[in-house]
Amino acid sequence: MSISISASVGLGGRNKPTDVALVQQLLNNTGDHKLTIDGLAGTKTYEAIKSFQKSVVKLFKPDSLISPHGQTIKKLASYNLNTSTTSSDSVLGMKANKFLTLYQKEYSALSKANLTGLSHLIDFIITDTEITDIRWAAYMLATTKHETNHTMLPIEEYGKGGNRPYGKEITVTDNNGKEHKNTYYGRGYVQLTWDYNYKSLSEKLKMGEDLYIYPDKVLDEKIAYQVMSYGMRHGSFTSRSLNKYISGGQCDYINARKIINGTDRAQKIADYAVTIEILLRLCRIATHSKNESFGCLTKSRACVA
Amino acid sequence: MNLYSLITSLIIKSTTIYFILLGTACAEPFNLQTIINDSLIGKSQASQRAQLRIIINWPDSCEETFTAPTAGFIFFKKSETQHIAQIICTYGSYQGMSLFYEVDTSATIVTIKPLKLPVYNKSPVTEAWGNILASSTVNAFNILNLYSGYGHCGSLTTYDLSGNTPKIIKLRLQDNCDKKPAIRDPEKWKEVEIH
Repeated sequence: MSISISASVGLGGRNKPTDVALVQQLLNNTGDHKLTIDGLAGTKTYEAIKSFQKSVVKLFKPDSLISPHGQTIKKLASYNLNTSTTSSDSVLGMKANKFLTLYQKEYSALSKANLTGLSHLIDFIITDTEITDIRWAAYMLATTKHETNHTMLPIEEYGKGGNRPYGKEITVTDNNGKEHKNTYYGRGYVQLTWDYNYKSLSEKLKMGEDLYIYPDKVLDEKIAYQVMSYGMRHGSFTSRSLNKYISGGQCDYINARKIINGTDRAQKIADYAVTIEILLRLCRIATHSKNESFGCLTKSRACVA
Repeated sequence: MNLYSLITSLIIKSTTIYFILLGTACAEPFNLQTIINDSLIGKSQASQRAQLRIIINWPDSCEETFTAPTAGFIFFKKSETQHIAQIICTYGSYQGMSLFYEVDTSATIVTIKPLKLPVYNKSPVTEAWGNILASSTVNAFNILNLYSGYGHCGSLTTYDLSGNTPKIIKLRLQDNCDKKPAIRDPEKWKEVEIH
């Protein structure tokens, strides 16, 4: 398994958290360092890189900077210990603020609205007792990133169902006898469509007929999250569920795409999931223990391999 | 009663016995032409799905993923005796997956042929993802296959159904889901030249 970083790490480097964490882990694997694996590049990490470059790589001018194709990363890669590749830790004890920082360092700074959206989403995940596997959280966030075009906010389907099979206006009557003219086009992080799906999810989320009578409620962030969480765990969209692809020692982020759609862009979303899983684990590790197993990083940045 | 109806009737009678023996369900007698006609005017019943499956016999993998309380099939007319049947296997989040069959009722025995749909730059598929949209062209339909629920990438393919196999006659493609600004109207995606 080849080890690589996507961008430079160290003094003056790009320092993407997933790259930094990988370097920190590999440096620790040499036995000469005891860095906190937090994905954040600081003085101790720079010094450790410099020391490694001097004593192992034998650079004439150690500069504390590791480039993606340089000698330092090649040497460091030999310290890959091939630890376990997947584990189903929970999201308990995660620090949301740290995740938001790492996410923006990894990708790019979010607008205020999108940052708020992501902040709410991560809060929902952390407090969702049904999310018993950190990789489910990673895949849900990756799916949301893709399905909302990186906004991390619930969206309305373009065209609102116009000329789609589910786009016909339906008149429904609430408990007070009032009529509502509704169209059950796609709404949410992961879009809910069709009248019977609105009705069914509403009942399963113990909301009576609320979503059926008032479909725009699915644009509410909390409800959109509940729809996504329940739907992806129970196979409400395609009859395939998270558990089928991500469970115990199995972690198939590529085929997990079938929970929502076909396999178009499955690799892209899987890549997001791998990165986000690492970011989530970094938040847990700093909270729990410096010595927590961190196999996902050293193996491949890919639970999907 | 014409010969076709007689054969269909015989099939149904046999099938009814089969179901009774299994003790599962008792199929109502039905007529394929009624199922087709009902579909063409948008009046299909959910109960007709099981009846149609007796004739088309699509795979279990398609049936197991279909959970909607609808008929989940649509007929497209090619001629008086030839139709394309779209069997929906799942409605998905914002688009479904379907199988397609050519149903020929011109002879005394109904002929069913599974269809593969050509896909630009890929191998033909039997499982097609996307929403089927009406086309202004006779004997054609559009499949809008979105790569994302946001609707800013995907393909809009027009298939000609008049020949022996479906052919792509028009394609709009937005392959890049990171293109900025995002274009959410498929009619504004770049048209690809089809050879």
